[in-house]
Amino acid sequence: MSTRLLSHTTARARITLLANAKKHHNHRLVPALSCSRFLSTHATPDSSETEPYDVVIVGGGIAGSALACALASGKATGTQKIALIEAFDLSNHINWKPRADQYSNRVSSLTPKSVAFLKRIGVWSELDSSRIAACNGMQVWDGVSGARITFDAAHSNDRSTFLQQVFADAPQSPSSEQGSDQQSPLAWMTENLHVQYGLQKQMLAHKNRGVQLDIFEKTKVQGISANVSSSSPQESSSTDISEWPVITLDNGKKLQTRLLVGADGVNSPVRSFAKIESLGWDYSQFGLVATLEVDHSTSTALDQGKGVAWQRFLPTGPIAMLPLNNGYASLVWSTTPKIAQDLKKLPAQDFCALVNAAFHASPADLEYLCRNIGPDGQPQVDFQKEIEWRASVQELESHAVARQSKDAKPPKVTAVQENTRAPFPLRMRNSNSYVEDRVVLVGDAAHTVHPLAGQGLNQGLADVECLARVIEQSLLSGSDIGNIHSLTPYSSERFLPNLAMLGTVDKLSKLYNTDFGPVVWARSLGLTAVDNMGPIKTEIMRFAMGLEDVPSSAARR
Amino acid sequence: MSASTIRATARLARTKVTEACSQGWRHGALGPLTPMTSVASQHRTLSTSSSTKHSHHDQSKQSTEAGLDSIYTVNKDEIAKFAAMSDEWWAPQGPFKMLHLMNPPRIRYIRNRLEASRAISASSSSTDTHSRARFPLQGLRILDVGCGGGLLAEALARLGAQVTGLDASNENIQMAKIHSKKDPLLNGGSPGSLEYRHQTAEQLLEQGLQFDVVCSMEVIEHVENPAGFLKVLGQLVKPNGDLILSTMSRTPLAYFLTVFSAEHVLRMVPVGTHHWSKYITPKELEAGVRDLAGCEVLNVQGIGFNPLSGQWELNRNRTEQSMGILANIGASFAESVNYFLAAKKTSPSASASSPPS
Ligand SMILES: Cc1cc2nc3c(=O)[nH]c(=O)nc-3n(C[C@H](O)[C@H](O)[C@H](O)COP(=O)(O)OP(=O)(O)OC[C@H]3O[C@@H](n4cnc5c(N)ncnc54)[C@H](O)[C@@H]3O)c2cc1C
Repeated sequence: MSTRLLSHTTARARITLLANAKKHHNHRLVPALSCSRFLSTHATPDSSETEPYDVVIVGGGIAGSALACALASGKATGTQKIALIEAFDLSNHINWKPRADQYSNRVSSLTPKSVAFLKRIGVWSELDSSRIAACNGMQVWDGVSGARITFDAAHSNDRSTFLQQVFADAPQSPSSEQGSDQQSPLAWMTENLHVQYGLQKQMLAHKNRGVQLDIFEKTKVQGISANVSSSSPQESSSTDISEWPVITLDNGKKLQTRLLVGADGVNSPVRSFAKIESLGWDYSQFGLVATLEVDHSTSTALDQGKGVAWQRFLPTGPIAMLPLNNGYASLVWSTTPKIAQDLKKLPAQDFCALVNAAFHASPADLEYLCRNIGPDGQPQVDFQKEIEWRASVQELESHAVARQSKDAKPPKVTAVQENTRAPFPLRMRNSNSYVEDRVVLVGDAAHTVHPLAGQGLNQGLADVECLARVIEQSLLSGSDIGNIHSLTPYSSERFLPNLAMLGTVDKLSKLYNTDFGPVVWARSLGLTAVDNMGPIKTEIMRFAMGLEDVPSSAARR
Repeated sequence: MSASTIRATARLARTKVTEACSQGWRHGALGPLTPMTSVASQHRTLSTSSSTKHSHHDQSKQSTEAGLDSIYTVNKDEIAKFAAMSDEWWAPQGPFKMLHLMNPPRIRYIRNRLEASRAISASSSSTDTHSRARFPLQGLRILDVGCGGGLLAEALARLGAQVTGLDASNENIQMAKIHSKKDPLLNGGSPGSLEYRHQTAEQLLEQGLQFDVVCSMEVIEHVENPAGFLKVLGQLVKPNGDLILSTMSRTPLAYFLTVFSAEHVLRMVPVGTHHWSKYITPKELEAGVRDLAGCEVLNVQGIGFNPLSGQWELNRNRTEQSMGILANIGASFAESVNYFLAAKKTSPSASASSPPS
């Protein structure tokens, strides 16, 4: 059962909160926030120490950092005074020096649209192409019924037309530049850290060429407050910015800003400050990530399954393996909290055996194996033997059905990199609104999606691209960029596509987390039918690749 | 109603606003420009360049009344109406929401027209520097007649212009002044500047002021004497300067959308905001700007509210359209509710009465 979440709203009033996002646990609602600290009549407590900004971005994750880069590279937005606040040490990103044989466990698939955006803001060229893997195919199948859908960069005819349109002005990715004749991949896989590194490099480059971009790292937002309306309407000669939000940092510094951007993740303190409701639920699921080594010679897919993303829907949740270069792959296994914890503790060899089983064995066999992980994290039966035996039985059965041979098999997992297994709670959230007067939300702060479609980050980048464009437009039309009217074009362009994505992914996850007969039958019919219907499949691909254009009503003018 | 509104109203009451003028409007003809010219000129409020024999007389009348601190082109009911709403002017979801939404396309239009008339350099030019991108109107003196709460005036000042906002309602001016204090960009934080005056266009003219650009957005349909108003506006424009107006057309569609739908059905704007009979068609306005303001009309363009996007959008430029019958229908339809007009004051002699600047 999922826990339904609803943050409470009260009339917007003079508010302050102690932003301690990490403490808000997922089973609870965004807690009662107001711990009013600034109750003095004057909004700017120590206005002498308060530094004014045009834009303050809370959160230096990928969404927040990308926004800083996008704003800094805009013609008009590049003249703005911008602050970026991040609790973590961002120098970790700039000093990132990975070994060629090691990959961090947080890997995301970037859609062509996201890549085009990263190119436009100068980030893509900062990246190391040897650490970017092109994904040319996707194999998605139902563990219960075996129904399968295949997406293939090379064989979909319709792709060239829409890709050409989208990429008319976008150069090729570094990885596909060499082969001029090469098909554009469906997506690119790379480590989140890698993208962060590129973003950080660009931010520093912008700073060096004189953009007013102040980065506050290892700094937490402690409180945000604002006056509702100016207290003294009588004519005064001094400028009164008391309606602008004041952000108090844990180093005692205070920033006051025309526009406050919440890029502060799923527990967004900025969202709480703006009293924007966020609806959603926690899937009682965790996503276990890990970096794997695979043996491509064991795959029956084209080109030994290199550059293919594999995803199998199991009754406990989908398991996905994303391709990395040089025989590495990234795992996202969505499953029950208990199994996720067990998987983390299992000895490496048994873990690999179980991952292989999750891709190859029957769901019933897998369930049996998972049940046999002891409380100490040790297997209670011999996993290797069990799997071998079960595989041989399955082989016999499948010969009878004569189907298995046709379906491409993913490569076998041979090893798991040390210290890369980590479980993340999975949830779905959507804010009721992405904008308030002087406040706007982007990325996971605005919406959080189940990772089964690998879209969370891509949605966040699409938000950022849109918001930077909207702010540029506002500046060009002389608007106050923090005014809600200046921000509504952003929310009207992003809200529906994000909601559509959330709804689709949520339905998929609900649909697939069951082995109830009729549902399985219906969904396998669905997968097989979709696989046979060119135009619909193309539409799904476009959606998943981030090529689905914004609704025509929000089309650029 | 506040004291100052009453004062303004009393002042208005002193001025004799001719009935004939508004009659003319009610009948749907732009009196001073068409066969009604003679009728109108008998009533002495409408000065036209074609009836030059009256010009001296008209001018003296103007001065006299301006001397009495009167604001004869403004209808007292209109002032009271807007003053009552001025507090809500800046409320995001208030009655002026539609106006707020209309501001970006207004600015877009003004920028486009000023680029076209070479008052400013094109924004798309590759030599564009950052500061030119941010402050494209730098160096221009702009007058916004009927500035209301200061929506347009603030935006123009943020883009670097030296803006004078003018309004006949003291409430509006006070409201606008207070609001302008809320943005450092309008208070020395940018090359632009912003001043508000509770005065009439006539009074400004008396002081011998002229501007590079004179704007008056959605005002002419609210003034009592649009012909006289146009003439004054023309005189406030420097030679070679630009005059930019917007208003609503007097068509059944306009009535339906602005009065019937917007006021009565959807309640997007307060009931009584509009008087359909005072709407003015593009043809009438073009003639008025040419003959009264002494400016050459360079562009007329419609603007429509797109309910899907919730935004106002500039319609296609008439001059950019093909000349087919359908295109013409499209153009007239596009201009049949709200539209803009841009004109350039070409010959300084056209407005002989303009004082030297
Ligand atoms: C298991 C898993 C797999 C995923 N796989 C994919 C995938 O393949 N493709 C994809 O597109 N997406 C994927 N996602 C989703 C993706 O990771 C997120 O959508 C994305 O990282 C969100 O970025 P963000 O910048 O919006 O938020 P975050 O990355 O959460 O950044 C928020 C930042 O704000 C900072 N912060 C918060 N509060 C404060 C404060 N008070 N003061 C200062 N700083 C603060 C935090 O330190 C943090 O750095 C996956 C998610 C999970 C859980």
